[in-house]
Amino acid sequence: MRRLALLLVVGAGVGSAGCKPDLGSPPSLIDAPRFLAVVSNPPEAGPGETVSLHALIVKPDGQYAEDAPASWAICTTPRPVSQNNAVADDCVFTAQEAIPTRALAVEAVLPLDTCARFGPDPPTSAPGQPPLRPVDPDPTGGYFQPVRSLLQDTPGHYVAAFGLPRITCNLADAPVDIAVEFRTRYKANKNPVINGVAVSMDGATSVDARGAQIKAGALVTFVTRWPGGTAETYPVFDRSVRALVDHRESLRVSWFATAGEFDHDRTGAAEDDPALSTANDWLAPSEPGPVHLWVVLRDSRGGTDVASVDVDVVP
Amino acid sequence: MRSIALTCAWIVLALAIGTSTRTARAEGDDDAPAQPVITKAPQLLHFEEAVYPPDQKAKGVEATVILTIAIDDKGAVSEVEVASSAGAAFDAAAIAAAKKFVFSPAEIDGKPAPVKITYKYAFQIKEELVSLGPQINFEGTIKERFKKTPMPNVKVRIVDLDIDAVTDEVGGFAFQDIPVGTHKVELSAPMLITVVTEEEIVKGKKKTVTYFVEEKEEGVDEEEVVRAPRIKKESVETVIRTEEARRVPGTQGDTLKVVQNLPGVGRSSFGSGQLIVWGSSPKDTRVYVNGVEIPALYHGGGLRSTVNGDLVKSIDLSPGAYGADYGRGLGGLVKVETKNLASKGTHAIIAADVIDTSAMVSTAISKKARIGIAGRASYLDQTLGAVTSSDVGDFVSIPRYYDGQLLAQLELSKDETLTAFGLVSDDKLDRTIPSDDPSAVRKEKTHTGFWRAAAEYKRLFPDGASVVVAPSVGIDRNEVVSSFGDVPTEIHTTSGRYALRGAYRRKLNSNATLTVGADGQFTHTEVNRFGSITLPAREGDITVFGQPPGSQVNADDWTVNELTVGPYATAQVTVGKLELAPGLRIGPVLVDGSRLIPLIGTTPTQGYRRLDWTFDPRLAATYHATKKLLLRAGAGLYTQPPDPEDLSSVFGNPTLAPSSAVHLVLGGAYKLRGTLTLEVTAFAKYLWDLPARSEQATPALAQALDQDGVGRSYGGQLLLRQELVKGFFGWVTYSLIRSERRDHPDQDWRLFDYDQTHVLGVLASYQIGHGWEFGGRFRFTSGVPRTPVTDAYYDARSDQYDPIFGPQNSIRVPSFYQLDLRLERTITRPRYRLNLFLDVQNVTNRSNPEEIIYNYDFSRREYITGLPTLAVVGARVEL
Repeated sequence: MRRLALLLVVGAGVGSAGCKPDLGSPPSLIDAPRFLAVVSNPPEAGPGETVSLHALIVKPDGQYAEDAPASWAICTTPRPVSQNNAVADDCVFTAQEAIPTRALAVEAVLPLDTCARFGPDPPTSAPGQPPLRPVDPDPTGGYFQPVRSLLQDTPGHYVAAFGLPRITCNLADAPVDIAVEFRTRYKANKNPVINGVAVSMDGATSVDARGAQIKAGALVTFVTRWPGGTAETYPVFDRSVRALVDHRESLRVSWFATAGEFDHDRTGAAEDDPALSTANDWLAPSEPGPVHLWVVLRDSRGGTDVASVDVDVVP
Repeated sequence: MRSIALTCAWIVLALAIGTSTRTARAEGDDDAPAQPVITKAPQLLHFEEAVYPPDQKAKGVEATVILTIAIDDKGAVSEVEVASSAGAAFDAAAIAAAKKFVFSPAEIDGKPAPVKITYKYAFQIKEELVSLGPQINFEGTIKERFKKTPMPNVKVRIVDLDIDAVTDEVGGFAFQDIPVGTHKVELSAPMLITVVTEEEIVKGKKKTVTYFVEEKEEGVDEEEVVRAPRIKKESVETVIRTEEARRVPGTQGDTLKVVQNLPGVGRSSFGSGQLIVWGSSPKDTRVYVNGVEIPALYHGGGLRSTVNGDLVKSIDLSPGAYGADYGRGLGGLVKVETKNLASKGTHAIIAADVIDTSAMVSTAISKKARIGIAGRASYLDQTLGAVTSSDVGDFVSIPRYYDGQLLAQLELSKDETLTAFGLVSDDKLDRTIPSDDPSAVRKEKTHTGFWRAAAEYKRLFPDGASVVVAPSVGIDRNEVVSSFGDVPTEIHTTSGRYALRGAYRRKLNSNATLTVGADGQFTHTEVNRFGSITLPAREGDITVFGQPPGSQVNADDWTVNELTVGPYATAQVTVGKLELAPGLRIGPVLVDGSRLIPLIGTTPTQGYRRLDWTFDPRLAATYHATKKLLLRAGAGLYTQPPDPEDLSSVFGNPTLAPSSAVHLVLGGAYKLRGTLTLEVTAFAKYLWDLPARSEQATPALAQALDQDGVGRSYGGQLLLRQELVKGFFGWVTYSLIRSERRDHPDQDWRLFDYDQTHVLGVLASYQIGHGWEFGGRFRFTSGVPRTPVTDAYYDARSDQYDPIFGPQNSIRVPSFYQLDLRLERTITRPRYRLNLFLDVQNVTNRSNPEEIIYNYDFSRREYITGLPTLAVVGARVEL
């Protein structure tokens, strides 16, 4: 006996899967006091060296919150290996070495033991106990010292932000010859530089965005430029092949505005993208008035630069 | 449409002798010779079916024509006359047919002679064709003794007549014209314990029987012990027959997906297809096909099973306290058995839908050899976009997969069989969520799969003992290459598996049966891992949906050899109404690893070797309180070797020892009616030596995982089940479960990530009639626990907010409700059978929350919802 069974099924969806909910305002809209960045200068330093940290806080009126009282502290506890967060919860509330200032800019000395707490140097284990696991690097081979900035935005409520200057440490786990080569070739990170913000309207050539007049409801394109060489090349000890591998920094621009709507909250150039600029469409608000925009350029090793532009939205 | 048939009953109303003879008798003469006596009546040797007048048939007119048929002394019809007319058309048709009748000659006074008979020819329109001539007078159904499932391909032999038949797909068989008397009937099949019985056939009555027989398991007794229960090693077991499973709404005809609807099984998270059994981790539940362990019952996303349902005979789920013949797992046990291939002919099934296309072909090479092959390939990743919104892919992984199965069965002798089978399954997922922000680009490329090649030799000895030997080999592969912005994750795992199961079983006396066996397995696993140390996520990780992984990365490659021998013994002792099934499983767990500590500089690699002994006693008890009430209890220790992927010196801990659990079960079953049963079960599990991520910021070297974790799950389940009878089946399941973990001694107990307090399922299907069938499934489950975000801070380096969490798993995703319906129509024709169905999921279009999602600074919380109403229309044609 021969039997043939044929099953034919046709599927049809009724309606549309509305999986993604509305999550409110995008991060690029400044509708409340916000940290835009904590700029470290230099962005990378060794133990015992001093870095200048500047917390950039903006308000919906477009002004920097220069008068906001802020407290600073150096984090002393590395995060557990099980966490995805950048810093340990303890560093948000406790485990701090306070820096005695209440300004938005501060000079911080990186602790001498920072490479043992947050870097590749093996932590000191108790006598008779097995050696402890050092901190693992990020994909750029970097280690970072968290420095907390605490801002009281409303009475009784604080907003915490962490600057994470990159720390220069020895190369761990690598054979000696590779460690020597690494020390020779590796150059400390430098902050990237914004080379201007331009705007293109009505398909015309982009012009300096400062003071630009943009029609209400118009769709324009902002362009953030950086000079050649901003994306630095640096060696990374690739543990999977146990050799030094050259990487190139990726660059990201975070876009902020007090009104209107950016097409993307962040744009940038990936590691293999040689671009010297990045563009983002912006839908001007329907109501005329001044609009304040900020762009924050970050490289993948932790360097930061900030620029601001004021434009007029006109009828 | 009704079929139309002619039925005719020929009734000899009067038997007359020839005209001359009748005349002589009418005149009467006392001196005349004695009247002739009919010593033998004519018998109809050839019946000719009349042609039903088409116009009358179309009108549905029925009629009866009474004929007078003259039969000559040779039995031929010499003349036909209408004694009672039913109209010209019917009369003509009846006369034409009757003229072709052939009779045996009648005899008068012992000599052939012409006679006349009266014959009633009835033209009737009936629902079904009833064949004339040979009549079925012995028929029946064969079912498995314990599962009550039909047994196809069973050879039913009437020994004294030397004739046989083979049961069809629903276990049915039939014989025609069996002589009156007592006959010896033998039931046999490769997977069946041969049974012999006697049946008496009575004249004019059809004998209809139902035989309950026992399949051979791992170790079989011979015929004389057939009626003794097989060793019942599982305290709680739910068995679903494939005929029911295929008709469960919401499963799209995939028989193995029915497991997700069984009691004690939690609802898997959206698109995962994980098996969450009695609050156990999905990785702790073992799945076996014919005794061979496979790594996954379902393809990625839980869309389909990895084994073609058309090759499956039964699915058994033991959520806990199972017997000593299985181990290496702390959770539940799913056993899939392939069916016996048809012993005759060639069979084929082709299936296609929006998800995948599959095919199955089986053929009988000879009377003793059969082979079947099946395969499936998917394309849902391309078709889903046509029916859902484009952002579905952001939340759900839709893999492309294929699988294949090869099954060969050979009867070496009457009680000796050899089965060989191969399984292959492969899942690939390649997706990119693009972004103009390099740190937000997400790439995911996974490739998982396995293959198995196995053989199973079974032999039944004359003394009633039996032996089963089942070697298998295979490879599991798991490759993950993903990136979240700049953070990569790469895992390449290849695991060679070599297993040997064997069992010897014999009856010790009338009340005791003993099985001894071994369940050995050797695995050689090679792992190469690079990237994030927090991906893939583990149970107990505190995170939120969509959160980027930690930026810390590392690399390691290592190999692990694991050997578990697993000798075991089980017995069944019957003492009155009490059946005890003690078991013991012991054996070494030998782990040999390549790397004890991470590579540091040029330090030589240091390997390690670890030997642990396990001692796992098991006990199941059954008390037949009454004919309707059965009480059950079970307990056992269970041991699970460490996962080779956890034995990394960088990402895990090479010194992990086996984890353990104790299962306790107490319950009962009450047969409300013949096929309606109520089962209630309470259970408790306690687990220890569970690996968990170290909570330390700087744990000891090579100890990213600790083994201080403990767990407990407890609760109860209820099953009210109506087995398939008169076209109806259904069940109501309810589970009340609490499952908790404590990862480290200094921590509090927390809810298990997969904990679901309430799981309710109501399922029913009914054959309305005229080929229509309607079914529905309603599900309610508590939402899974999640850890709330109470605050957040700004990470200025990555320009993102990181969450600050509240108590772990202290909130839940809202409860899940869903109603699925299925409408099916079956049309049967002599040459084909057409089956149409409509399977509608989420009929009410409820937006079921599936996961919690936050805005960028965690100040706002919303829910990702599941799929809307989804209708699947299908057709099945059997030719």
